Formats: sequence, structure tokens, C-alpha cells
Amino acid sequence: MKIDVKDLCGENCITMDDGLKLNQAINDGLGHKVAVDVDFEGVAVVATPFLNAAVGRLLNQWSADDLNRRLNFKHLSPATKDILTRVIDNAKAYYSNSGSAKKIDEILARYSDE
Amino acid sequence: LLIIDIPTIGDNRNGYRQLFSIWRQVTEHPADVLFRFRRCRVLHQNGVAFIGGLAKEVERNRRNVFFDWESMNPVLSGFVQRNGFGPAFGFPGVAGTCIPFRQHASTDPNGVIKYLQEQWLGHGWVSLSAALREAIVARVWELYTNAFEHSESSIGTFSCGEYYEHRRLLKLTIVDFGVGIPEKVRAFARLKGIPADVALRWAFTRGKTTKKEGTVGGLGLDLVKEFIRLNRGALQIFSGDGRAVVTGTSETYYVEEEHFFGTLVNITFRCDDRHYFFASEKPSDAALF
Repeated sequence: MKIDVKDLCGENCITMDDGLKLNQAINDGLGHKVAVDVDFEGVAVVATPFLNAAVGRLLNQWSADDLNRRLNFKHLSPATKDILTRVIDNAKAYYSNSGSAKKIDEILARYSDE
Repeated sequence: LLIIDIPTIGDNRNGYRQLFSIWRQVTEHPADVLFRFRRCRVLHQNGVAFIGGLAKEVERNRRNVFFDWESMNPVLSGFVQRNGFGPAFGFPGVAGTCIPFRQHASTDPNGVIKYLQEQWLGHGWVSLSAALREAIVARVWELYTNAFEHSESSIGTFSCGEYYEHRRLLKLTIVDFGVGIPEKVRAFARLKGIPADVALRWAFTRGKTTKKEGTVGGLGLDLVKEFIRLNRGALQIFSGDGRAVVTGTSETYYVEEEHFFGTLVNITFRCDDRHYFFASEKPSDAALF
């Protein structure tokens, strides 16, 4: 199954709302047990709110193994691939850290140390 | 009627103090406002974005704003006619090459991208490949999305840019009159006493986000910082009672006595034709997830 990102979200992929659209489309494909090719051909600008919603959330929905086997990205510019790898690493860290509650604890700990 | 005499406002520490002092006067006196420019020799992108945004904020509060265009010297008058500031408040515009004053709503993200592509980077002051231009635009967009998502301001953001030809610096100021980053962090942590410098440092750390539980975030400002380091440019953020300064080699956070409610971001981009490298460090055959 191929998802044309430009068709789905336009040439600027920068908002969380557009990212959620792509996340839904990817989930639909993965739910049908098929390989999903996400094609960024013709997309100009890609930013983290979009990728967090589209791809980062997948780490809370599917196993890394499933995603590595069945999800492919096509026509990513080097700059977009750079942001995508950071989004994935950040999402992994976020979901393995039990979310924002732990982050609040970190603030309080740091503040009280000073 | 509150009469404000705008002084000459530079893009420096004193200039920001003057802007925040004007904000305090306007906020503390809930009357109609007249801005006069008899004492103002020159305004830069920071002054235009801030005063224009403040005027729109005053109008949002159902107060009238007047500008004494006649009090401007001819150079300043021509400048505000060319850069869209005058026309935004009823003064006739004239054509000219500049990075204009703009108000951007959160509902028009493509308008921001177009502004950055065509108005900020599109005048030929810096030579960039299309791919690099889009990569830079994506990083500067992070500053806007931060303002839209976190400021909780209903009137969006205000921008103005300027090219400093002799130093080959391209600047952009983005202002919102929302809650500010330190307040946002304090509310998120449910701890009112967090000092502004601590709150800002936390917000600038990779992976830290005030988004609701279950939503990943916290990369945008980190990407902007990296861009500044690569470019050897500068980023200055005044937010609530805090200030952050990021340069090519350092990152410093302060508590500010003279401040305003909102966030002002001033980004300096060095037009030195350096080659940037925004590429993944991960080998191309490595598993992504």
C-alpha cells in the first residue's frame, strides 16, 4: 500500500492536524497487515509537529519490530530524514519514560536541587 | 488618551528595555493610545514587530490606536510605508524591497511558510539551494508553531525582518502577547515559584514538552538551537520574566526585571554562504525504529 503524503497533506507538512491524518492512514494500512510505503515526493517543508503526530505516535501503537518490517519511507530529503530519526528516538524515550508525569518530577527535582 | 512618544529603538538591550517599558505604560493605562515619533530617528525589525503587535493587542481590547504619521522623519516614514507597518494601520504603502511586518494567525500555517520562503529568504540576500532553504524554513517554523501552540493568544503572531547589509545579517523578530514560556512551564509543573531562567532552560532541552500527557514533543527548539550553532548566528528570546540567548558557542538563561507578558524571538542568520549539513547521522541501511 502506498500513501502519497503530498496528496494527503499538501506540500507543507508542518502541523499536528496533518500529521494525525497521515497517522490514521498509516494505521489503516498496518491494520490490514500489509506493507506501507509513505512517499514524500513533492513535499517541500516537513516539521516536527507533523512528524510527532504522524510517526512518533506509532511507537505507542505498534512494536518497533512491526514498524521496521512493514513501514517504508520514500523520497525523504536528507534534512527530513534527520528530523524523522530524531522524532523516532524522542518518541521511544518518551513512551519508555511513562510520559509527562516523570518529566514534571524531573523539573521539581532540578528546581529543588538549586 | 495615552500619548506614547516612541524613542529611537535599536536592536540591542536598551532597545528591548524601551519596548517593554512602552508595553507596561500601555498595559497599565487602559485608555486609547496615540503613538508619536518625534523622538524616533529609526526603528528596526524588533521595534516594528513589537509596536505593531502591541497596537493590534490594544485594538483587540476594544481600545483605539492612533499613529501620528506626520511626526515621523522622512526616512522613517518611507520605511514604514515600504515594510507594511504603515498600511497595517491605515497609512498608505509604497513598493519596496524589504521583509514586511505581518500578522499571522494559527489557522494559516502555509501563510507563514510562504512569508519565510519568499519574504525572509527570497530576496536573494543569501544564496541557498531549494533543499537547504526548505530545511531552514522548517526550523524557523518551529518558532511559530511554538508561539501558536503555547502562547494561548487569540491574535496570533507578529513578524518583521530586516537585512543588515554591511554585516550581511538577516534578522527576523516574532512576537506574541500570550502567556509566555516560563508561565507555561510553571502551570505544567503546578509550581508557581520556578525561576524564569530554570523554566526556560528546561523548555530548551531536547524532549521536554508542556504538551498534554500522551503527546510527544520537545524537539522544535532543540532543532532551532542546532541551526544557530551551524550558522554561527544568534537567537534571543524574551519570554515572560525570562531571557534566553543562544549563540554559535553558548547558551545562557536569565531572569529579567524589565519584561512583558508574551514572547519575543529575535533570530539572526549569517548570510556567509557556508554549507550546512542537515543530514541524519544514522546509516542509511540502519533500522529507523
